[in-house]
Amino acid sequence: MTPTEPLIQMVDVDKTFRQGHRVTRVLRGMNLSINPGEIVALVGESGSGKSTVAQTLVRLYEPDHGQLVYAGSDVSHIRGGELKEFRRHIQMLFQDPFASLNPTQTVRTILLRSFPKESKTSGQKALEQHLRDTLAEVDLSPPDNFLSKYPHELSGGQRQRVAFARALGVRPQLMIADEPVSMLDVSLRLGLLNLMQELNHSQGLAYLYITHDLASARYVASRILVMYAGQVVESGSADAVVNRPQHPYTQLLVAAAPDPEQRGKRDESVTINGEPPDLSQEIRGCPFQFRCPLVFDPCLTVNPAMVEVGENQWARCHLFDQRQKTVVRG
Amino acid sequence: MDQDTKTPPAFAVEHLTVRYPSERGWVQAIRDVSLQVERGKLVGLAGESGSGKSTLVLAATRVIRPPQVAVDGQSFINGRSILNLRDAELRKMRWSTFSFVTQSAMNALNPVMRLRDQMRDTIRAHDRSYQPSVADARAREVMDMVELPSSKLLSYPHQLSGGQRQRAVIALALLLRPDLIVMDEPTTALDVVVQREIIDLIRRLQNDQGFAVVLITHDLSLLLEVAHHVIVLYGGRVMEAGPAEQLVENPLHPYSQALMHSFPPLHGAVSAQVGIPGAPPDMVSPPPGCPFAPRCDRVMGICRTTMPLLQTVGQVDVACHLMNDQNREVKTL
Repeated sequence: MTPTEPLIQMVDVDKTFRQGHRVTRVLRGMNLSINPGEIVALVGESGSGKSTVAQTLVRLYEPDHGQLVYAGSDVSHIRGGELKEFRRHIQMLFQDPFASLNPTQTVRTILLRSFPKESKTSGQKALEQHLRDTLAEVDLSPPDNFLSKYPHELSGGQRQRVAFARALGVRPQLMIADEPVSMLDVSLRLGLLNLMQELNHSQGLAYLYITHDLASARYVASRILVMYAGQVVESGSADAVVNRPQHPYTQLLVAAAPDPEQRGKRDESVTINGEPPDLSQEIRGCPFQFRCPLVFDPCLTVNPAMVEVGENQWARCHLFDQRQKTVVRG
Repeated sequence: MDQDTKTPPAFAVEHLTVRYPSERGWVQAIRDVSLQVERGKLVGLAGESGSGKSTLVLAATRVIRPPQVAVDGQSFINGRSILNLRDAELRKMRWSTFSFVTQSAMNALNPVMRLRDQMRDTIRAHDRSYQPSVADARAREVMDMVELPSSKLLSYPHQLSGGQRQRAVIALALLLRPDLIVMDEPTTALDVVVQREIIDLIRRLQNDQGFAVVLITHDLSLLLEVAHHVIVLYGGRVMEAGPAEQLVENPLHPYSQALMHSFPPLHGAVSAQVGIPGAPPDMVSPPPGCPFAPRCDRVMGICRTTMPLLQTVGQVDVACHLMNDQNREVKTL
């Protein structure tokens, strides 16, 4: 793997779920790419396909079409030992630390079960050290206070750190964090986000940070991808996407986000209407056309392609089809 | 807040203390909390899990059941003392004087009843002269207020989207023209965009109809943006209370200050922030002094032994010993 090669890539991935006669196209030509040591945020509404992306990246699902490429090789359909080996490199951090830890196991057991085989054959002393080091990495100290604890003896923030330590135990290259702080109290969220960043700096750990909170996405990530109806509709540097959103949907998201700075300044005459499209129906044209305040003819028939709308900023919108070459926006 | 001696506030709580038993002893859920909500105002309760924000309003509206008990204090809705009311009297006031919008719109609606029938039920329970046609007319009115087509009255909850369900729950709360609506995490399960629609709707309705709202949410940025007045609770006590803009611009209590720095800004420069290290106190044996003392970065000796009294500083009430040193003209409540 060369340094410039992406760590993982999704290339035109489709994923469809079938329930009886109902066919739901959850991912529609999903593209994403994460470089080694990069923090990328994936933002979107529920039902936009964020979690399906996460589950496809760890290969809980196989793509129907398109490819999942890890470190240059296609892992879309690998199986058995190959799949096991692949999963060592990618770990998940889940939303609910109350549900993601086995309530009948101590922290020691929870961590040990995740450790790779090598570490277990290198002797008891080395193993104990590895356990303590891993807990210290997530700032649970002194480790001896935690090893014999059960999840119910820990606070929500501590539990989320144990879940984090379990994922770190296998020394992954990429961590997929699916709403990792949304169930934590406000005062504890930054602690975990900062921990993610520290491990990014110290170990070069890459993240896909999945969230609906644009402010925290901007805080932790260098790049933001905005998803709508199973595809990325805008991507760019975190600051550009939040401060200079180009796609009408991103503009809507930014405008709707709670912000104390906007007290009394909001234009309440701007009303937002409509709901995300039903993905079990065939969508002709742009999936956002039904809610878009700027909809025009091409949107009804052709799904737009991603075009560059600024420096390293891309949007999937017909508004930019003609103007992209001449107009420098933002 | 202005106080007119003639018209009582829509909701007033005075020195309320609530506790409930647990296996390990009494949980001191609420300790000596007072608040006032005028008509037309939206008052936000800010606090983390376990701070007592839900318990406070549930106890003050007598929705809690034994063994959870309000051991001391008073609560008034439209000037009527709620905690001493006879059950039959309280029943008359419920929903017609104060109603609720709860967190999970899915669970707040009966899944096997059409919306129309749930509305008829609610009206019938409070109106002796109940007539279906009159009830249905009112149901259409409230549907109109929440901007849902009245055809949805024939829908079952599962046929509605999350946003529509939350609107239906608000319609139910409006049905008997209450003076106070308690909203406990009304937008928590919703997406940002739908949340914005619902919040805008609540504010429009409040402007038109003048009911008071107590908004409980853990989403501090939302609360600070929409509330007129914010009460910051920690460990079952009021830490700071005052106009929302005061809290945004100049929080006085170290806990409020730390909370304001606990969420990254949406715009402006990004800088490293720390949150609040430590964990909330165990309310079975809360610290003897200020509940925030163990996590406070400016803790002093007195904080660990004596709970500071709420003091009025400008437009804000603050419970912090630091105020004693910094302010000469403090007025002790």
